[in-house]
Amino acid sequence: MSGRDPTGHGDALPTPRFPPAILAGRSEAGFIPGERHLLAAIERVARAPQGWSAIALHLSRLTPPAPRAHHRRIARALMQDAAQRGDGQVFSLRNGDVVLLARDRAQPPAAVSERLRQLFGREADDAAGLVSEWELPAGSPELLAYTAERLREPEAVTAAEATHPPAGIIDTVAAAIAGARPPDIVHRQVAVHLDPTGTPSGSGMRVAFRELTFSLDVLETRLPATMRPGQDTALLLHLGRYLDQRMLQVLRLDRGSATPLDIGVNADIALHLNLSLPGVLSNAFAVFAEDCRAAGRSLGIEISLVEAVADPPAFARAAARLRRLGARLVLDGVSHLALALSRPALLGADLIKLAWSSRITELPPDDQEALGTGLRDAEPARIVLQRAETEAAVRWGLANGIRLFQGRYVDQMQAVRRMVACPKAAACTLRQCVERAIATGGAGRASCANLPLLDAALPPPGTAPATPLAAKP
Amino acid sequence: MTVGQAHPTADGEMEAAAQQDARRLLSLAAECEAAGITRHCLVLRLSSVPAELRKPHHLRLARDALDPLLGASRAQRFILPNDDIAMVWRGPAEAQLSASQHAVTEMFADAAAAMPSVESLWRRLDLPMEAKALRSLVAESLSEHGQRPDGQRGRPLDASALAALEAALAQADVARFARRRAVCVPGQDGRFRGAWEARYLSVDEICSELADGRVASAEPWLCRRLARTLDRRLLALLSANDELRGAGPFGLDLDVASVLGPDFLRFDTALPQLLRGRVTLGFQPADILADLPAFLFARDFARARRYRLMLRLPTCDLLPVLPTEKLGLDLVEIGWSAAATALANTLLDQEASLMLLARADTADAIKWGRTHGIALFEGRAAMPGQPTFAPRPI
Repeated sequence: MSGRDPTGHGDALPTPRFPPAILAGRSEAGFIPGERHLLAAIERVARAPQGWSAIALHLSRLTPPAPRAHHRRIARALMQDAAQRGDGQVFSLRNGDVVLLARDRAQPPAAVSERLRQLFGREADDAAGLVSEWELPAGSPELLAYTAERLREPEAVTAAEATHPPAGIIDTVAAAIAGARPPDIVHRQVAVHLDPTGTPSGSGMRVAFRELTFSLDVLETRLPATMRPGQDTALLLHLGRYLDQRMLQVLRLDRGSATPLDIGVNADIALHLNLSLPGVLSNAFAVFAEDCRAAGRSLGIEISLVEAVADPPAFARAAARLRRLGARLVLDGVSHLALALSRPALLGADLIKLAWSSRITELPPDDQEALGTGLRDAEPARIVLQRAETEAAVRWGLANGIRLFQGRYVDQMQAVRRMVACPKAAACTLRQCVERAIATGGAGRASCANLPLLDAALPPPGTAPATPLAAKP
Repeated sequence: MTVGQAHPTADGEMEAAAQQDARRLLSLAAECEAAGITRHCLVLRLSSVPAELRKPHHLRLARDALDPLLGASRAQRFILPNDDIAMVWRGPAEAQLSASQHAVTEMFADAAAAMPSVESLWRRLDLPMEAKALRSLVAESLSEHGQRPDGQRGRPLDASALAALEAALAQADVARFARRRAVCVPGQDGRFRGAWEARYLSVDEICSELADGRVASAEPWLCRRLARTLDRRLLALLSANDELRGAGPFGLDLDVASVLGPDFLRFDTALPQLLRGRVTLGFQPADILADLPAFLFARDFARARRYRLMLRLPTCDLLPVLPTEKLGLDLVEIGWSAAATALANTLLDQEASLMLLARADTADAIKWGRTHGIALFEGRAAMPGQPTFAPRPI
């Protein structure tokens, strides 16, 4: 038996003697699933099973977005390595799991399992259940049942390898940014201050700022598939300059237009923009900041943590400029892991935007403690919990001293207040009210019959959402 | 570069002599390669020094600084048309080399901030293995002097130039751009000795040769994207048969995604057992923070495969923001900067023994690092054999 399996699906083996019902029907277009090879191998090993064991790494049990392509690649490499030491073979199953069938000679299976648990367990809710071990022959029935079960399942859709589009797409994307109609790609979203002693429907909630953002998702739908920056972080960050230029240009051109892109409208609500470091240091920004000052509009500039650490001197210059211009510096894109593993508060921002993730409540104790330390370091009062899409997010934030929130759940709370106060609400759904508030133009917004209320900072108090929001003890 | 800038006092005779030297050196390189003759070569790339530091008296001083090497066996000196100076000799000459390096470092000590990186200034080549690289340098010297379109040089890398460069790299043999620079520790004898060699592909030279002299560092995010492409090529190069046979400890600066890619797995498979535990992987903070789950996975995977892990900080300012113990890394590299020392003075003592001071190009940098107990140094003033200076009291 070979220890190497370049195909990842096992070597060709003799036809096994298992019931046809197990083996039939899953081979499409000549592709033989790893499960069938595994069954054949188990049968062959069954002739002299002493000393053989199987280990399954259940990549299918990792928490999304895992398993990613690198999990699969490294799982296979590590298990191939173990296979080489024990006359073994590795099988990639269609649900993403990887199985090692090997003779227990060089390494005890428990040691291999433990190494896999340590490496992959961080991204699983249940690290202990991430690996299964079967010693043969005692474990054969269970191993067979597991394999047969995999054959009955539909094939899982696995995350594709991240692709890196050619650098030449930059000019195309830049042209699309320059040519798109602002209302199509510029969205807005408020952040609110919540006071847990009040009710969210009443004096307990007030708008803290309104952020204008470019929607890259919308922009990408207007580009051919081969021209999308996708997940290429370097290209996306490089494109930031074009987004900056366009945003500052749009806001300058719309001055006096009385649209949501007119900085003079709702000037009582602080305006937040995402800018790159070159954007903050540009002349166009100095002019824009002066426009905001003249309009009496407070300004907050959001800079990504990645950019801040990539070029500390430029970040320091940008921070100094923002202070001089009276704008708030907001550190954006801080994940709970970043808060636990680094000290972004020391970069001197006025606010830190922490991205909510449902993983936050499921962290192992050590990581929970590190996150708690990070929260205290950063001072909860300075944190904006963004992507607060659920009530659980807001509850967690309130329980941890956070008072500023932004996200879909906040949008819904705001919409409830508006609809309670709006005499024309009977014609609308909650979802419509949410989406019209996010839009900066277009047909959706135009359908609203009460635009002053849609844009207002402080809709009058109304009824609460279904569940009150006071922090649980 | 124009003739006037390169040779402010040059007359036709000097220029002809430089052309003749270039031809002689090309011929020597070809001869070594054809006959397998072993020679050592040093190219002092004065063409990479800012014009204001390349006045006639600088050039004379630089030639004098290399005089110690004339004492080596079969030593020859070549003055090239772009002001680069090449020295070729036979056999060991560490003392002479060290004396020359020290003299060059001292010569430019007052202008360290304006100086190019060590790898741009100081190229060591071993013939016949690196004869191709030497010929490439000489050819560059000739073309730079007479033919290079000045309008391209110094322009930032842009999207279309990067796309063209990536296409060119797909076909190019990148071995000629492979470089090493020494990371040193202070020895008991008051001199630096090598701890490991940083191995990398020279972005400056790749851009010079394949992208019309565009400046990649002027566009940091395009440069990061280029770095990822170069990671793959470097890993493939190091995975080639025998490439690492007999190699000593070394370090690689890699993107997090590169450690999780198929090229790294092939490199890991090809890594000789003797080097296991002696390879240091360096990560940039932006790469780490751009995808922390991937970083944590890469970190744990690399640690399981017995690599040492290093955080590469551009300056001291980020030390408190990115504590190495929280990130679970073994070492941290900080770039020397006189301006940052005031901050770092209060921070270093706790983890100085796990620090590498990069860009240690001056005696001041070495003295500061030694005073603070820094264990590892890299830069023009920290070459093997150079004095380490006694740490001064804080």
